[in-house]
Amino acid sequence: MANTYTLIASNTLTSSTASVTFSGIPNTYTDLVLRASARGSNAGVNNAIRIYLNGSTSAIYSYIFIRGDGTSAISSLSSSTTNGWGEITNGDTSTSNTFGSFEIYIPSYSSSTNKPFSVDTASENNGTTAYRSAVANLFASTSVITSINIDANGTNWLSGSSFFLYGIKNS
Amino acid sequence: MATTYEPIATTTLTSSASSIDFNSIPNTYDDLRLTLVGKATAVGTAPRLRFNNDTSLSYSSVYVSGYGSVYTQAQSNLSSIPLAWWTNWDNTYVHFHSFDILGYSSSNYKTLFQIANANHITTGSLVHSVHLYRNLSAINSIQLQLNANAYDVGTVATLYGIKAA
Repeated sequence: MANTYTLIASNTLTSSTASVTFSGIPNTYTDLVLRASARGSNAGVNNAIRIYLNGSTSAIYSYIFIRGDGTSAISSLSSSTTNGWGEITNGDTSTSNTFGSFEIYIPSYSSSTNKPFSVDTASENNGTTAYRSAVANLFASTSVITSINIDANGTNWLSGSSFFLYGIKNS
Repeated sequence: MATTYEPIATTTLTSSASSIDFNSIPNTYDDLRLTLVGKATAVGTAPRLRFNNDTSLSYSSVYVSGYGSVYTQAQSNLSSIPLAWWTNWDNTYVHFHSFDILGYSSSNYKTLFQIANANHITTGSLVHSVHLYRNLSAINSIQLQLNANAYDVGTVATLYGIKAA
């Protein structure tokens, strides 16, 4: 039987970089899952995550997120944005040698409809502030997803950050 | 090596349908994952989930949601699990739901976790929820029903089995 959950590609950084891209994604799966363990160079306990599909910077993304930080909660909706949103992982003043984690799930990525995708994110910090978030994104494009770019929001992903792209087949 | 994560069944609608059902679910896995991606044929469509065609008041739910700038929570005890607690399905926007159903064939009550993405660009909601199906019988069928209207062509529902060993 063919594998249901297959690693398509991975990237573990040995030096810092502004973004990580998976391109040439085959259209032979049903859904895509990208999992990451990441730390950014932002001079704070947090580092934001931007997501681009098919390299698009057109204002065709929208997102709804909820976030708790140990003190308060927030919900927000943004529409007609030029990037998808992955919320917050660890920044460079968070506990040393500590990486946050997130998962991006893109169902039916090769369908001819618009593409909803979900992000589940957690940062880790031995302090009074850490972040737990979820995001409902929409990429208003009917094109097949062939590339995913994970951007550190103007900073860099640090060495040791790792990114794994999986394909899931439903038959 | 045994397969850990494998599709049990999938349905991709080529015509609209008022329900999507999974029957005769084997009891050979430890957990199930159910994914549902699609649209309805009209606005105001509220999908709901039932097990074993059980319509009794055996489904309790706790939701946390963000919609716009509002975050909120809710709790219910109903005869089904509502999928679209804050944002109904319509015929324009694609909704995405993912359920993890733990210990589905055990002789305990069954716990489920849901992620729901209902992004309508300028409106919509994000929901994370936990549910309890208060029945000791193994789950051998799943019904994805609707309050009205139908699931639209192209809607995909897939049931995966997950083995612990």
